[in-house]
Amino acid sequence: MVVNVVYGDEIFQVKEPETVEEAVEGADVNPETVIVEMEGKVVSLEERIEGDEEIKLINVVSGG
Amino acid sequence: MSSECWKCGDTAVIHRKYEGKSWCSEHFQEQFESLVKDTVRENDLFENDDRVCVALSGGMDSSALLLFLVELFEDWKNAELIALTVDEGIENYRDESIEIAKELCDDLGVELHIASFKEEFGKSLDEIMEDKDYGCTYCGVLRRWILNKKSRELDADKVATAHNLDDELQSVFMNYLKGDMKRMVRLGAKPAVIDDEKFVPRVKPFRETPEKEIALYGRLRDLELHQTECPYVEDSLRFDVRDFLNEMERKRPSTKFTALRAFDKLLPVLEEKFSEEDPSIRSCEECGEITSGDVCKACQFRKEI
Repeated sequence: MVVNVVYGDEIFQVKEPETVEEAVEGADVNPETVIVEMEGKVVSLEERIEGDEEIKLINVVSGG
Repeated sequence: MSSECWKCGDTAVIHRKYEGKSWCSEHFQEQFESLVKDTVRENDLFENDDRVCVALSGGMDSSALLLFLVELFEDWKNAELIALTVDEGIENYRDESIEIAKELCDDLGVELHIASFKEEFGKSLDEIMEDKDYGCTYCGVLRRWILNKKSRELDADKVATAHNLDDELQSVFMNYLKGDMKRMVRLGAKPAVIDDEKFVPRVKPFRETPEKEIALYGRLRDLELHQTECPYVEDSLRFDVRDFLNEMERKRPSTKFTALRAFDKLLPVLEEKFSEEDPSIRSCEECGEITSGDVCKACQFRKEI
């Protein structure tokens, strides 16, 4: 199972994450700095991933 | 399989590690608003007849603050809200967020005022930066100058800013790392008020709210997210501190709250120690705005630009 993690213009492929949090960390992103959407809906970091999915990360850290 | 809200069992949108609970959209929003109301009440941020000017950039934090205050003030019959946006003049950045601010104010029925660097200082930030290196230094000083002057001209009793838990803690750590204990006294939900009629007091209703939760609240309330990064943003000490605190929070949930509470215990001591050393506030010889020197920083910059 492979999860595509979309973060800005980049896509990271993370293998076998069990949860959204593992997928985010697999993309080398600190989960504290993003909110996560799956199929257009906000999901918790504890959400379990059971198949090939795509998740979108939205940066919440102010940059200026 | 979904993680579930601890209150109702619906699908969770957030798991707060620092309290060990997951929340659905509805209960998260309810609890978010309740916590911000606690900050407002415990710090006496507003009076029933206040005219409050919200510093609205059009970013997520200030948009969420405006929305929250509009709803809060629905029950405060004599309180008034206006919004003020400072247009620094940053092409393809501020013009986008100003449009968001305009739309939001239209939707919420809030009077929006826009003040610009160009009008006040004769140059936009883009023009200033043609021969300068550190945009944030100029921008911060000039923006605060405009915010105070314009909000006073608009008869505001207070300026509400969207400074959040992350912003506040970053400032605490930065001041500590720079050894600037005196500046710490300017922090807090309702920073020590300068007793001068030219100063409009500032309040920070989101001071105890994590940045991430404000973004989530805004997202769930369908606020538009302005994600363009300021072109003049610098790799600064603030960024190092921000990344450090986020990493600490990841490894040790609740670090940010604990650190803020520790600072709040120190603040009265700092106020007692350092307020006495403050030079008396006076009027700037050039512009008449308040300053602790003969000429305010904005006027010093005005000459440089």
